[in-house]
Order: sequence, then structure tokens, then C-alpha cells
Amino acid sequence: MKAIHTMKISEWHTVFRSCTAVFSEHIKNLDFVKTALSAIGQVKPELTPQEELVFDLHAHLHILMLLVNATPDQAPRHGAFIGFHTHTAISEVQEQIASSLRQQRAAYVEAYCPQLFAESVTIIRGLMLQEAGEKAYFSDIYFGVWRNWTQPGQHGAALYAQELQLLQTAKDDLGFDLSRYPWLTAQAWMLSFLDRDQEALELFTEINNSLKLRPDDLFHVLDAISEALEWPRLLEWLLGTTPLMTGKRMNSLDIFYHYWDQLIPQHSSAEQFMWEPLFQLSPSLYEKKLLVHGKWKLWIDYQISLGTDPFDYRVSVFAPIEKNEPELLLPFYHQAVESNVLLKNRGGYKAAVKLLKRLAKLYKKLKEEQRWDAFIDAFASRHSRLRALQEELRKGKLIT
Amino acid sequence: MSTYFKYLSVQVNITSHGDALLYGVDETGEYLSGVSLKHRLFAWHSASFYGTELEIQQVQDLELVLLPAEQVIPFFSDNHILAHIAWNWGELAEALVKLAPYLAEDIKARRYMPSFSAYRAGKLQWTWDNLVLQRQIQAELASFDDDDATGFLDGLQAAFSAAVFETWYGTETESADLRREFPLLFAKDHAAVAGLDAQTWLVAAGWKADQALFRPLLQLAEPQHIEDPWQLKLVLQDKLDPAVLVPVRLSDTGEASGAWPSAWTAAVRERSAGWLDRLRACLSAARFAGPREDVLHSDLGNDAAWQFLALDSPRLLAAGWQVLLPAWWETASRRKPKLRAKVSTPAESNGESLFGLDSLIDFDWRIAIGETSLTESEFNELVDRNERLVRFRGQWIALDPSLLSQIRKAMSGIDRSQGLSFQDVLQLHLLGESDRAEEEQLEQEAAQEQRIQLEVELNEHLMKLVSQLSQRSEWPLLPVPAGLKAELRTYQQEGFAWLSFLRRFGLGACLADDMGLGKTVQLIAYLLSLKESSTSTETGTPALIICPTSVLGNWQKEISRFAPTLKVMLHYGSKRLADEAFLAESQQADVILTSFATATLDQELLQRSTWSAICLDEAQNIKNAQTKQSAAVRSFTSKHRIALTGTPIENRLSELWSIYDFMNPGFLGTAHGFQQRFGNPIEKEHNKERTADLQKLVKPFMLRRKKKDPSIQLDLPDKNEMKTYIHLTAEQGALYNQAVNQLMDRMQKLEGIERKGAILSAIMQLKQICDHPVLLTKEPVPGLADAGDEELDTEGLVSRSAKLERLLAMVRELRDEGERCLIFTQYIGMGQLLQSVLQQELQEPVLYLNGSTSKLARDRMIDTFQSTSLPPVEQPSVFILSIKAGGVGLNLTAANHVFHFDRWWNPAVENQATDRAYRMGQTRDVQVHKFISLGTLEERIDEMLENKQQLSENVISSSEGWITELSTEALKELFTLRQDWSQT
Repeated sequence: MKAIHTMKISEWHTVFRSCTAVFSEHIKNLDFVKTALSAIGQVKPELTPQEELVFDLHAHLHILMLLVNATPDQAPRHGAFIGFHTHTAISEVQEQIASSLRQQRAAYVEAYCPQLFAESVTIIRGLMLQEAGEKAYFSDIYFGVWRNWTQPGQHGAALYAQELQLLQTAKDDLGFDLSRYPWLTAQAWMLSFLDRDQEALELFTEINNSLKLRPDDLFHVLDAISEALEWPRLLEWLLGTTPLMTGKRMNSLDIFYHYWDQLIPQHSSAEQFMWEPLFQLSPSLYEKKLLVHGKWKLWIDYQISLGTDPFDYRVSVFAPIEKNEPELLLPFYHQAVESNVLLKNRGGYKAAVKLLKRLAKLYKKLKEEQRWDAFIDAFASRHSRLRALQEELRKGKLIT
Repeated sequence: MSTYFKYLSVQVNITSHGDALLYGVDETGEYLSGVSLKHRLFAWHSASFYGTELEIQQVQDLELVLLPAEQVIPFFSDNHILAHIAWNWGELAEALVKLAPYLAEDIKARRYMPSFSAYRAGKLQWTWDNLVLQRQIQAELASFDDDDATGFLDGLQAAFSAAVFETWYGTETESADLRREFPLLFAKDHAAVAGLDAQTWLVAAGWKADQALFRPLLQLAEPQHIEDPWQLKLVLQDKLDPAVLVPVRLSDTGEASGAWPSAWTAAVRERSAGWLDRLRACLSAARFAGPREDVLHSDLGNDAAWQFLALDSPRLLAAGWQVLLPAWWETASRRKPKLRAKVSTPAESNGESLFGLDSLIDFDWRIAIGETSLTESEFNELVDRNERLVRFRGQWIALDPSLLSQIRKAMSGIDRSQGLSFQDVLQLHLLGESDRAEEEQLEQEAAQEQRIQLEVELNEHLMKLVSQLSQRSEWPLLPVPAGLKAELRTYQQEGFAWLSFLRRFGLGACLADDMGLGKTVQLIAYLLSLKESSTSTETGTPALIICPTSVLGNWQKEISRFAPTLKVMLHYGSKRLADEAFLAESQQADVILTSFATATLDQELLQRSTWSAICLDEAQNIKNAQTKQSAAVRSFTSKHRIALTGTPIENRLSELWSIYDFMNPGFLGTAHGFQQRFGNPIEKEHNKERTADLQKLVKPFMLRRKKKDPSIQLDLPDKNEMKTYIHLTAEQGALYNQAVNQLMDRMQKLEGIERKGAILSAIMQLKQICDHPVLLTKEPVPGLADAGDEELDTEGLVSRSAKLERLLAMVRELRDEGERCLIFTQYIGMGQLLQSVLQQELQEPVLYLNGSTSKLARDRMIDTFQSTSLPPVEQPSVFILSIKAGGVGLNLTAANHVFHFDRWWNPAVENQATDRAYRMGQTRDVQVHKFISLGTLEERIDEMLENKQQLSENVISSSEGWITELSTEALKELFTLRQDWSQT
């Protein structure tokens, strides 16, 4: 066999195949992964750090392909069953790939081994564009490779532009085998790398409209932008992609709004744009974020407008409000007292007394004891006929 | 984009009172419940506690939220509403939301004024003083139909007014200020403003400044000469120079004529008709009886003038007129006439002419009205004129018929030929002092009902006397009698002088010093001075001292100690003298000493003499006025009466009456009257006035010094040692004699060691007998300590030992003052007995420490005794110690009384025990009481110790062995019971 570093990557894969053919009948689990990796490791030559990264990636790629029943020139079979252990194995492989991509020296791969880079990209692109079905294993790797192995800049821009071209032509090459979703997504990514944000956003919107965007694919970009600390740009993206989050799952919304959380401390004027769309998307997340961003008044406003009960929340939720703007709790508690008293049962009265005690503490904290005294006197005499309430009040030492 | 949960519409209506009624409708067209609306709409409205204090009114199916008038404008102008609800205002609500901020601003900037139309309708309401706003409001309302618009406007005005009241006149002071500054706004006389327009009225009320250069006044001119009539005039006063007054004649058509500056003419012409109208509304028709060109020009007689002064001018003032009245009227109208009894100055003023409260004092009547003072005849003359306004000595006087009749009645009620008694004078004067201070205040309040008060005006002599009575500093100091064998402390000298001073005027005295301050010695000094100063012309009648049986001996001892020159006769016991024998003997004596019980038995006998003085010791023994004892004592006659007591009687009113009635009969009136006048009001109703009155009456006759008094403290030694002499009971006497006889018998036969032994054991027996018989008889005492359930017969026990009885009384007294004491005794049995008896009698824990007490218990006892934080039920204040155990390392400074129940005849040992209390850390004086049984060896040995005669320091050791060295004769003399004292 010729020296491995003179081979093309496609030839590596052949070598890998032969290394792992022996285990082809083994169950595709973590052990398999270990064994396969060590087998490939046997044939690993002396390589430069960057070359080594590429080598490792492809080793993993190979195993991944085995795990998902794919081949370089053939898409994974639809509906092929992937067992539980295999899923675990896949996750492990993906983890290892991701961690390898994150290494610092990864940034120089394209610079030092442009040929290897180009070959890798071709292979991965091929795998990605033929991927169909719920799970996309190769898109993430594609993005990861582009993001971590290249550097932005003039050279990088040229690469991205070229890739964009290649993607376009890939359509013609693959014909019906082309998976439209990854094809569009990849282009959007390239556009984002090229800072052609407007086009990228439009493309993402189109993807969402026609094919339903997977939020993770968007988050790759947002991740990159936030990691690069490009806050104004992040704001643009967040504003532009908020509409795309309609109907997405709560997990995704959480992650999406986490980007806002990161942005706002750095770019305070961004905040005003967040609230209304957030309210539309998910009132409950809106409510949570009000607390996160210390919007105590709006939070109380929210509660009263909605008509919630203070006992729906743990006391710890009120703690920051009590610390910062205790007077805001007054309307909430006062109204809850009234509502509870209107229930006209012992349970209601007990609840009311609990709230009154909290109120007493608040008024004391606010140094308005006189106002409290006037209130509780009027309250007690207004409800003087409610014997059970009077009892509870006395028990709670609110009246004598 | 929005953050709205709901879309709610709100409709508002304002009532004529200014309250807002609101209801809401949700997106589906359903009416909101009252609670739901008020919580949502008023979520940020702190004034209504976020909606929770707002009322809900039910009108058929609809629930309306009521927002009180004063909150309407503030709420709508703040417009502080929930952000997560989209609010849609109804038509009227919309208008309100628009206008409210402007109105709120006007309120804040005080651009408001009283509403004339409201005033005419009888109310005070505020309206906005802002034309621009008015037009704006009109514009806003243009789109409504007429009914709605007027309703809304009325409501808006009411709400505005309510808000103004709340903001600017919300507190008592602010509202009072408003009343004071603009009284016209509150005037009830709405007819008076009939002719006015809004502007004029505002000016008249003072709200708006009057632009005119003058103001109209009504002047009442008093006549120059007596026969001239009064005159009423209308004048114009120059605002810039108030001295310039231009008289003006007003015709019956309202035209004015006069010589005023031309600049004023226009204004005068404009307003003169209005003046006439307003005056007609305020004054009676009779005032306008003058000629046509000058209707006001009519003559007013005195009565008409009075009517103008008293009745018309207030009306005019209320209507906004200024009135010029004679300067003296203000003060004259308020002065109440006063009836005074002026004590006449006797031709020869000798101080002795007055004696006793019953002595009569001559006086004349004086009636004071304002500054003038009239004699009785002058007064009658004036009243006969039957006028309300009279001129007297160049001054005008206002006479109120009802008051005059009261004065006449009061004068006729007191027969002047008799004169007033000294007592009456004293009482009037003492009580009158306080009234003077209140008078000024009352005058200012111009009380409706005027009641006549009788005052007394003392002559110089009496003034001096009375001031001497009340001021301590004024008492003349007397020299201490020569025969007094004691050094009087300063306060004691003062006390003795005070007693003597009161004697001069026959005024009874009550000496109520604290226990231990030496009341006895003060009284003895007094008695001695009586004896020393009695002149030969006066037949010396003795003084009578009545005291409890248990202190008879003490008195005898003390008198013989301090004033040996006083001859004392003891009237007591079955062997006492009766009838003629008594009278004869008593004439020879200076002091007769008897007990309460005896005095009661021999009431008739004692009544026959007029004593030079009667002194009651422990006067609280007659506190119950109805007892025979009490009545008996009060029936005796004497030139002077003194009561001694250690307990504060001011707090026990019935006791106070009884003692005072003894001291100064009739001074506090009848018991029943006293109860009504003072008893009930003070004790039940805690009437402060009456309490003060009583104190004033009582104070001159009571002298009470307290130990805590700083000036007394200086006089007191830090350690005050006193001897308390007690006599033995019959039982004790018998036992004592028996023991002595036994010893004498044995002494014949014994020698050496045996003799010594016999003597020592006899001493012990004798001492025990002096303490309490049961120590010797060793009988079991039911109820004592370990006997368990049985009640201790304290009374029986106490009656068998005079020492115990005395101790109990003294401990009670000091416990009343909240003080603590130590009691030392040698005998365990006595200690136990004391503990049980005292515990039962005082109802508090009593500690007893002796040799057998463990260290732990001992420390605990000391801690509790010294503690200041225990509750009263648990706090022991009496600590009994055995004299030996009271030795080492105890700190009992919480006590400031020490009793030596029985003596240890080595002074050093005794002092050491006493020092448990008197030492560093003691902040108060310590009173040490040593009990000595009269006639017994206790007394003899005490005398010997005092005299230091036969004994020297070396001889007195801690044991009593030295006694055994005495010869039989000496022993016999030492032990034999001297019989004069004990009861038989």
C-alpha cells in the first residue's frame, strides 16, 4: 500500500473499510466504535497535527457511515432500523467529532492542508446532500468543518464563495438524489459566512416557509456570531429570525431566547425589540424572561392581567422583587386577599391571613406602618360579620 | 404587535356627588364582574389599596364599581393602568381621561375658588378658576346630549371639589385654618348675600382681593356726655391710610352722599345700593329710622346700643362687614362679674386674735366687674337702674341680669354679721388659687353659661399666715427646748417648729414622716417646748398621748431618754387610777400616756379635761370613723390635736377623712359629703380636678418627709441605729419570773462550774422567753413548717410575744414601701417560727438561713434575695439569718433594714451581722432596729453596754462568760424583772 499520506482521502476510506471489515458482523455499539477506532489507529501514519485532525475526522466519519448504513456514494437507506445501542454509539462518535473540531489547532487545517481540506469537503458535501429523513448526521459535520477548519478573511471568503458555486452545481450533478433541505441550508450557511446576512436570512425564511426549518441549523449560525461577539449583527439575525420561531418547540425557543439573554447585557437597546414578539410566541416564556431581566413591574402587571394567584408561585420567585421593588407586590397580595375572602370559606380565610401577614411585613419594610394600620383596621371592621375570618385574623395576630 | 391578554371596555358615569360609577365589558361582550373590573382597572391605584377597598354596587344584573369623588380626578389623570390589557374607554370615560390631567394640574397649582352658586345653595364647594379649561370642557361636552352633558359637568365639579378638599384641606389643622381665614365661607346667613354677585362675594369673603381703594365700615360712636345718645354711622376707610375715615350718608334709595376723594366716586356709586341691601338684611328695622337722606342717623339709647354691640355686630361680622366699636367693648363684654368677700383689717392686729378654724372673721362684700370694683351699696344702686349698659366712674359696664340675680342670691345667703369662719376663708382661698389660672382660659372661650363664683380677698395679716402655712420656707424656726437630750437633725427641727407654729393658730397637724425619721423625738421636743413655755398664768394642763398598746413602753422609754424633765403618767392596766384620783394625779403630770383601748374604756373620764394637746401615735388606728375607738378619741377636747402616722394616708381617702376630722373637726365636711365631693370622683372616676382640690385643702396641715428625699438623705446617717423597746406579755412575765426564781434558788446551792453552768443556761432561757414563750415550753405548734396541712394560728402566736407583734407591724410597714430587710436571731426555733408567721402574714416567700443550710442552698438564697428581676410573687424580701451564719462572705445589700430580734452582747459580732447589709454596694441608708425587752436583762445589759461602765472591751468577748463572773447580788439585779411595764 502506498504511504497513506500520499493517498487521497477516498483511498483512506478504502483502507478503513478493510480495517473494519472484520468487525462488520459485530453489533454496532460503543465497543464496536472503540474496536474500529483502534483498528484504524493501527494504520495511522506519522502526520502533522492538522493532518492528524483530518485523519481522525475521516476515521470517525467512516465509522459513522457504518453506523448509519451509509456509503460515500450512496445515501443511507430510508427507514433502516437503528437500534438503541447504535444510537448511543452514534452520539459518541458525533461527540468525538465535535470535540475534535473545537480544538484550537483545527483553525489551521485549511491553511496547512488545503488539498486535504478540499477533498474532505467534497466527501462530506456528498454525504450531506444525499441525506434525507429525520436525522441529519452529516450536515452538522459539514458546518463544523467549514466553521472550524477555515478562517474568515479574504482567503476564507474566496473559499466560501467557491463552495457556494459548488453547491449550486451539485444540484445538477445529483439530480433527484439531491436532498433539498440540506442543499438550501448549506447555501444559507455559506452566505452567512460571507456576511451576506440579508440573503442568508431570506434563504432561511424560504426554508422555513417551504420545508420547516430545524432550529438547530439556524443556531449554528447564531452560535458562530455570538461566539465572535458580533452583537449588532446578532441583533439583526435575532430580529430577522424571530418570525421563524413560530410554532417551534419550547426547547428551541429556550435556546433561541438564550441568545437574546446573551445579547442584552452587551447591547441594552436590543431589549425593547424582544418583548412583543416574545409575548406573541410564548406568553409563558415571556413571563419567565421578565423575571430574568428584572422587569418586576411588568411581571406583576402580567400576573394581575392574567388573574393568577400568588400561591401559584413559590416564595422564592418573589424574593428578588421583595428585595428590589417590594411595593410592587402590594397590589398582587391585596387583590389576592380580597379574592380569597370572597370565597367565604375557612380555607380562603386562612390563605387571606397568610397573605395579610406578608403584606404586614412589606409595609413594615417600606416604613409605612401607619398606612398598614389604617388598612387593617378598616379591613377588620369591614368584615366584622365574618366570624371565621375574625378568628383567623386573631390567630394570625393581625388584630387583637 | 402588542402584549395584551385581553381587550376590555370601560364605561364611566359620574354622580352628582362626584363619585364615579364604572362597569366593564370584555371582548365577547360579557359584562365583567365588579371584582374583576376593579382588580384590573385599579391594579396600580394605591389610594384604594389597588382596588380592594372600592365598593361594588349592584344595579339589576350589572355590577358597578364605585370610585369615591376625591379619587376620581387623581386616578384618571394619573391613568396608571395595566400594560397587559388593552383598555377601551367609553365616551364619558374618554372625556374624563382627557380632562382629568388639566384639572389635576389646576388643583395642584391652587387654581380653584369657592363656588358662589353652591354657596347660595348652602354648601361650600370648590370649582376651577381657569377660563381656558372651562372652554375646553365645554368643547369636550359639546358632542354629548344635553342631559348627559349637564350631569357630567355637575359630577365633574363635585369630583373636583372633593379632590380639592382632600388635597388642601384634608387635615384637622388645614380645615381649621380655612375656617379661620375665611369665616364667611362657612356663614349660615345666606340671605345676607342676596344682592351680591359672584365676584363681590369672593371679594367679601376675602378670597379675591378687593380692587377698590376703600372699604365700608359701620361705626358705633359712644356719647361724649352722659346724657347724649349713641350714634351709628357708615364710614369709608381708606385702605392705604386706615386713619382716614369718611362718613357717608345713605339715603333710603341707596344713594350715598359725603365728601370722599374723587377717585372713589365711581366705586361708591356702584356699590352703595348694595350696602343698603346688605345692611337691611343684617340689622333690625329700628336702625333705619333716620331721615330719608340719612337713614342710619337715629339716636340710640343705652339699651339699643347694647343690642348693637352684643347682637348686631356679630351678625355684621359674619356677613363680611367690618365694624368699629368702642375699644373697651371687647374686654368688657367678656368679664364675668365676681363676688368677693374682702376680709376687714382689724384695728389692732395682734396675731393671737385668731385661734382655731372656728374663729370668725369679719368681711365686706365687693363686686368686681372688669377693672372696676364696687361696694355692696354701689352695686345695688347700679342694679336698680335696670339697664344693660351703664356708665360708672367714667366706664361703661355691661350687666347681665341673670348674673346679677345670682350675685344677689349669694350675698343674701351669707349673713355678714356673723362673718366667715377662718375655715371657710382658708378653704376658699386654697381652692381659689387654682381657679385663677383657669379663668383666663375660660374667658377666652366665652362660656355660654356664666356662674357666679365667690372669692375671698385676704387682708395682709391673713395673707402672711396662709402663705406661711403653705410654704415651708416661711415657717419661723423655733429654738430647740433646753431640756431636750438629743441632737435634732435639721428636718426634725423643722418638724417640731411646724407643730408649734400650727399650735399658735389652733390648727391641727398631721406628722407623717417615713418610719425611722424620728417622729417620736419631734413630738417629744414639741411637748417639752409646751412645758417650758407655759406661763404661770396658764394652768398647766397635761398633754395626752394615745398610742397602740405595744408601744406604750417605747414612749415611756423615749421620753425618759430625751426629755427626762417631762413627768409622765401611765394610764393603763387594771391598776390604773380612776375618777378623782386620776384627775388629781394627772394635774401633776406633763404627759399622760394611754392606749387606744384604754382611752375607749375611759372615754368619760378623759373627756372631763381639756388637754393642752392630744397626740395620736399610729393614727391610722382611728381610720375607721365609725368605731368606738375613733369616736371616743374625737370626743376629747384639747387646745391642739396632732396625729402621727407612718403610712401614707393620702391614698386612702376614708382614712384621711377620719384623721383630719380628728385634727380639725369639720374641716373636710361630713363623711357623707366628703364621699360625694371627693371620695367617688377621685377613687372611681379618677377626677383630676377633685384630686387637685383635695390635695390643696389637705396640704397645709400635713408634713410628710420621705427617706428618699435628697435633703433628708443628707441628714440621715448612713447607718441609723434605733432601739425598739418592747414589754413582755403576762405569760412571758410569769415565765420569766419563774425562771429567775428558779435560778436564784439554785444559786444558793451551787459552786464553781456548776454555778456557771446554771447561770448560762438561765440566761438562755430568759432570752428565749423574751423572744417567744414556745421556745421554752417546747410545745408543738400546729401549722409550723413540717406540720403540713394545718393552718398556722398566726394571731395566737403573735399575741404571745410583743416582740413578734412589733416586728410584724414594722416589717409590714417597710414592705408597703417596697423595701427589704434582714432579721437576725440566735435561736433556730425562733427563726422557723418567724419564717412561718411572716410568710403567712405577708403572703410572700421568706428566706431562712442557718448553720444547717447547704452551701448551694445558701448561694441560691442570696441570689434570689439580691435579685431585681423576679416577679413579685416569687421575690423574697425578708431574710432571716442566724447571727452566726450571717457571718462570713454574705452580700445582702438589697436590704436596707436590719432587725436584731435578740441581742448578741458583743457589739463587734452584732455590727458584723449588720454589715451584711451596710457595706459597699449599699446605695441607701440602712436602718438598724434592736429589740429590747423592757424590764428584763436585755434592757439592763443594753444600758451597761451604753454606759460602758462596768465592762471594758477585754471583758466583753464573744461568749457571755463574763456574766458568770458577776456576784449573786449583781446577778439578781441584772435578772430581776422590773414590774412597772408588764400587763397584769
